[in-house]
Amino acid sequence: MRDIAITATAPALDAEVDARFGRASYFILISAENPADWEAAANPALSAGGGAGVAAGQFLASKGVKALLTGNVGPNAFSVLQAAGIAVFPVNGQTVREAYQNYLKNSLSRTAQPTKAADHLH
Amino acid sequence: MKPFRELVVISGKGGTGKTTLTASFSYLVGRSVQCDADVDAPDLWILLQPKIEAEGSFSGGKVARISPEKCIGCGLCYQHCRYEAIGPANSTTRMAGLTSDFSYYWVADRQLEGHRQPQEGRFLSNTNPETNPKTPLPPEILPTLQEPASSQEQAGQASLPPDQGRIFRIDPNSCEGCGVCQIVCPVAAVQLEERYSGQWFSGETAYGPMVYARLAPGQENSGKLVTLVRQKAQILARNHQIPLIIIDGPPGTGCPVISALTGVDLALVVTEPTLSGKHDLERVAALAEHLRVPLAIVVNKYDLNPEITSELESWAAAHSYPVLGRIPFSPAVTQSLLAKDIAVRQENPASSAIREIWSRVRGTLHLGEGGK
Amino acid sequence: MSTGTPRRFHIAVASGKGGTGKTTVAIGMARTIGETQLLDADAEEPNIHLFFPVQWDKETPVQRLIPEVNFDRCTYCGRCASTCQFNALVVFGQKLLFFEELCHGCGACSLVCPEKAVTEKPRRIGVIRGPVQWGRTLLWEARLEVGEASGTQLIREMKHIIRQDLPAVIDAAPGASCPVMEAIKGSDYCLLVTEPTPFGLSDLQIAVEAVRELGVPLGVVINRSTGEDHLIDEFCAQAQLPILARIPFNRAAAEAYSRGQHPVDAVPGFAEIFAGLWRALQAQLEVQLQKEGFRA
Repeated sequence: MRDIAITATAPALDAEVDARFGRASYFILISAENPADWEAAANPALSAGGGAGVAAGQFLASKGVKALLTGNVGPNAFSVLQAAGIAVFPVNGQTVREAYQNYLKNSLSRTAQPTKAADHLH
Repeated sequence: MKPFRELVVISGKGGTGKTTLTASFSYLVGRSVQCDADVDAPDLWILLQPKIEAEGSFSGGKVARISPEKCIGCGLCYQHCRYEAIGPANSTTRMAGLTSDFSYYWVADRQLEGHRQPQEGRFLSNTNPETNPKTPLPPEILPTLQEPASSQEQAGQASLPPDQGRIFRIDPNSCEGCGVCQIVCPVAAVQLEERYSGQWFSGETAYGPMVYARLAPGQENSGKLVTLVRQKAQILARNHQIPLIIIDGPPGTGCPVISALTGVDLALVVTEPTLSGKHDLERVAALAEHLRVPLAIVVNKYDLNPEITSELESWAAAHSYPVLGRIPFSPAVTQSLLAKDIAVRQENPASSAIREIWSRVRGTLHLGEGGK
Repeated sequence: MSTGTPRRFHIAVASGKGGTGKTTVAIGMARTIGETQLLDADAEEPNIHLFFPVQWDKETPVQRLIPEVNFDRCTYCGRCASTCQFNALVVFGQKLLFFEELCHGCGACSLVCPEKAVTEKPRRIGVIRGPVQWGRTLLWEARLEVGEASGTQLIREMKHIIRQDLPAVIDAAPGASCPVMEAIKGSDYCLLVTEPTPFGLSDLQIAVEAVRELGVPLGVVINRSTGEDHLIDEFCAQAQLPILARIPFNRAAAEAYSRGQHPVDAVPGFAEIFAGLWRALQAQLEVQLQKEGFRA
């Protein structure tokens, strides 16, 4: 079960965590039990004119993800993630691999609110 | 920590000297990544003259198209479109051929729909609850559609087959790409297509790599395009290990500005001492506050109205926004611009003010010494 | 006005970017034409009112429709969400979320809902203020509600609501975005205001391309002319665009503007410049009239 999603600037574990959620380049979907069990999914919301965060949230919900490691999440995307029961862990300036390891060590803290204001309305 | 800092230069409205200041900073830093996020009217390239090495097109949103050979002229799309984007396809006047017949069409429509002005206000086209779900297209409209009075006299109009008035067409300038026409079309004559919305460019300037983009006319997605150019600038900063990105931001307080402001380390607002300048400054400051972006102010052409300048400055002080400097009005700046030169390269009172402002900006951003 | 000029015509005033003096030209034109309407079509940042100390005592709210979901009927099939082109609706599991600020109010969701669980309710997108009389000018202003993304529909509605028996000068927002195109669309003539600088030229080129796509005839007004306008002159000659006026660069005009005064009232010579612009514009309108017949 690949239950963790990490935003990434490239489809690799050594890529940096993408600071953006809705307009992230890739999602690394990875299993909490088995680090070898992972895949990189191109963000389908990247081409959305508006509401990219919402669309990305819906995508992760459809994948059955339980935790999201990313830079910033706006209020719309956050409500989708919250409704889908996906916990959000903000990370800053780490590679995907580092963020994943820190998550397993419980050294990331979960946020209970959006980390930034809405990107834009349109 | 990201390995670079981002400075955005913005203004409540255009024409306040934003690009002149941005280019002067680029010159003073010596080497930085230049990012022109004013995608509606990108001008920074004129001063920095990048050698274009890469470019690409950019699409955003959708636009609907009706296949004329499939359209049966039932008018369902017209009835359901809320953007007045659908009209008869029989027009030959003007370029896109749509404007003049469209306005005629809508005047006729309005005369029939006198009830569209309820007490509490107006509803947009096809959205009045009294007629929602939508009433059938009034049969008396169709005949008038075929004979737009304005173009009737035109040569060639008379030879149009009468049935042409029953074919509908989409004005891409008004279409928002919602797809309602596609949903209601009984004969699958409507396609939703990707909308070309702009072009981005990147290349090397004398002051470091640069990226900019240009939105196609009438395109709305500039927030998305701003995000794209900023992303490309960040990649350039990483790849070239350049610690500073200077962003020439879009004017106003709309969606592109929000995209340009989000996550930057400092927003420098260039304002002029005019009544509207003050008004715009307050709006832009509220936006930066909302986005939790640190804000500093520069007053350009401050001597045009010293009174409003002091008002601006006391307003800034009351809200704890640092004023990093005042630039005097100087015809020499316009002269530099006419010569496509960077203002700060000349010696004059305006350029000394700009140098001073830059040293304060550098302090605010905690950048080391360096450059010119 | 001369006998050949139709009584009802719309002049749009636009510019590739802000700060070129577009509003100054729009106000100056309205003053010069005489009995006319002046429309502030910059719904995000209306600022003509700064020049007119008027009380807006009349306003018309404008509404669009947004979906309302009856959760007793909703089966969470997700048709509405997959249909919405703007990602304003999300459905997963037994949950449906709606994001009002992403919604364009197109009505697709209510059309496709197989359970008829989605109906629609009005939401205010803004107001059209006016008319209010100032001298011989009737002022109107479109003002977008905070949080609404685009003023396009509001501008369209403003053009429907104004007096149809009087001419109108429409001050568009700067740039070439959707609301600007909407303000220019269907006008009888578009004045593009520019400055004789390389920036001005670049922005003018973009604006010309945009206005030509709309099929609206256009001419250029050079503001802050220094007498050396060759950049713009050459472009206009090549693009076959008439230059209808050159407003000289004048520090007194800039100072008057900063005090909220219009140069026509404050600076000697400006009234004549605008009278000249109006004559040139009338000649252009008559050319158009002959060319295509007038649509009243």
